[in-house]
Amino acid sequence: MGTPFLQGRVELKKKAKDMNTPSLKTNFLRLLAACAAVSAALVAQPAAAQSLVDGYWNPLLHQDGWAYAGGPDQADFAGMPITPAALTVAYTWDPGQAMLTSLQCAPFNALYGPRSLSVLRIWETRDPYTNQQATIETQMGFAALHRKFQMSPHTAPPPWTQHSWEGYSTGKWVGNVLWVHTEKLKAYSTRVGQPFSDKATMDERFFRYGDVLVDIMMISDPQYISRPWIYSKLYYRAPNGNIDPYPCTASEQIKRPKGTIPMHMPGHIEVDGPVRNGIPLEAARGGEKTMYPEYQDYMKTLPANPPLSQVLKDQLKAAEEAAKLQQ
Amino acid sequence: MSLRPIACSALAAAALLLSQAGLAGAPPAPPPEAQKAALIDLTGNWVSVTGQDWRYRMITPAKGDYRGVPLNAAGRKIADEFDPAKYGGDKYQTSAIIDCRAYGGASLLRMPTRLRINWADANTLKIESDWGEQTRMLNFIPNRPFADGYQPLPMQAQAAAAGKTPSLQGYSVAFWEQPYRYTASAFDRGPRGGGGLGALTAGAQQPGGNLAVVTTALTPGWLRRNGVPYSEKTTVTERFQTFTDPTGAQWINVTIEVYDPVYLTTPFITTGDFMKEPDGAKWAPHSCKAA
Repeated sequence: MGTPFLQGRVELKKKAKDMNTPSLKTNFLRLLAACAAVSAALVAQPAAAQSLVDGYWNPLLHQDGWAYAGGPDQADFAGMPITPAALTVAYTWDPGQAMLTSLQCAPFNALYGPRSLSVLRIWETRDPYTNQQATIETQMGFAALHRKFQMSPHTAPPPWTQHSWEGYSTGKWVGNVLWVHTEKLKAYSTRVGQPFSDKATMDERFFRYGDVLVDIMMISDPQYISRPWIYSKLYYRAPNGNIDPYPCTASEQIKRPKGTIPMHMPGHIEVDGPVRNGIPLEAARGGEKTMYPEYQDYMKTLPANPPLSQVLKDQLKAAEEAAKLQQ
Repeated sequence: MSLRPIACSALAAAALLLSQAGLAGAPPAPPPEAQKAALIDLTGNWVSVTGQDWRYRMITPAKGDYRGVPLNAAGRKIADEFDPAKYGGDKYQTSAIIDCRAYGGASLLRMPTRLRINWADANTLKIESDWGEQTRMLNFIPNRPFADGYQPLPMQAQAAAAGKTPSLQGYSVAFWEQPYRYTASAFDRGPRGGGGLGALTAGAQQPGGNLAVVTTALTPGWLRRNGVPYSEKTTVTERFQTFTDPTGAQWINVTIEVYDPVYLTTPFITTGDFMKEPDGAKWAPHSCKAA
């Protein structure tokens, strides 16, 4: 006597003694094939993912904090793998565009949202039956940016997926590292006018070291950057975090003639930002070469920037000419 | 009675168990030498790629610009004593005359430089930089290559670093940090000690891992090349991780946490990114200006 399971084992042993008959061998091979299929199905399931990143996270402002808070300086692309085509687009961009009523409530897109000065909240949703992670979602305080990472292995975006500000993200755990791939993004310009096309994609790796969360963002765009732009955003765990509602109401914040579209005519970009910070104007044009150590040697050969007073005077004159054209 | 469901379950469970063990690669015991126990490969030639804080790293920031650094009043006072005349005068920001203190152990991996990383011996990883011409030795504790995961890292490194002579690169104690292990199911099914998928995954090692390094015994140095200071009481905790970008290029990301009770109000946390190069062809030693 015993449990059905043990009885089964005894019977299996008895049967195994007679395994040298051809019919039983055939049966065993069939059984083995069936078991192999079941095993494969079990093994193919994703390993139980670790939710290491849930909760609230405060942005750390120790690197690029000046860009998160006050916004980057116009015409400063030093350290960005920006292409000449992108630079042409960026040089016509005016930060006043963000104040147009039609754009005031537009969120940053997924490529740029983490550069906002915002608390980040991360949460997961699990399948109640399998306990597998179905989605991981993130929200940032500023502009209520909401992203959703599809964690199921079979959720690549269908071809008809519309492009959106946050795009379509799929995620997976590799060990304790969260890998996320995002595509189907809308074309977007950052606060400094760096354009990204709707072909841009982003691959991320989320690492957690104790209370520090690192989001390594690898942005690729065949149209506007010459190589993946690697960018790390740091967060610190906020045990009592909170995100306030973000109601956005558009209103005229800058007095200007109706229908004005802020922009710069080619050749009239304002460069006082780089000059104030001592960044050589050629370096401020960016490009991949500005990212490597040898560029420090090259900068020694560059001419000094014009004095700030001269730069400001030239900019004022250009602005007055532009105003005349608009009248 | 058909044997098929029972036998099939047993074989499937056995296959799953074997595959979990094989895939997870759980080490039965920590290997004795750090090189053999390595969870990631950091060796080779690497180049820093400066895409963040460019204005503070690729050029010397303007005197008195310590934005982003949680510097206290004492620290600001010292930073304000920076003398541009010693570093190129009017062109000090782009002169590439850089004080050696900017290449100290708390800031070396933020500086634009190439790195050469090799095993000096089975328990010592050596990092050399061409800019600043510095050498860091990351010392694993013999027979203890892994961090224990429970105590704070600085506590684990304390005994090994005790009594070391202070230097610009300090004394670094290194550990491999393994990922979290799967937690045991609270409701393991089946007979005690077996059965149930929860029991099968409990304690299994996940793939991956990173290098953690704690550095103390530092002489005073600079967090930025315009004289933003850190003191001799500084402790630096670094985490090295590797990843591959969409083009297939291999990278190191290092997260650097600088704790200085003398000049900082909170830990100063930044990152550095290094891309692998095929060889050392672009290695170009640049000396630094002795303090």
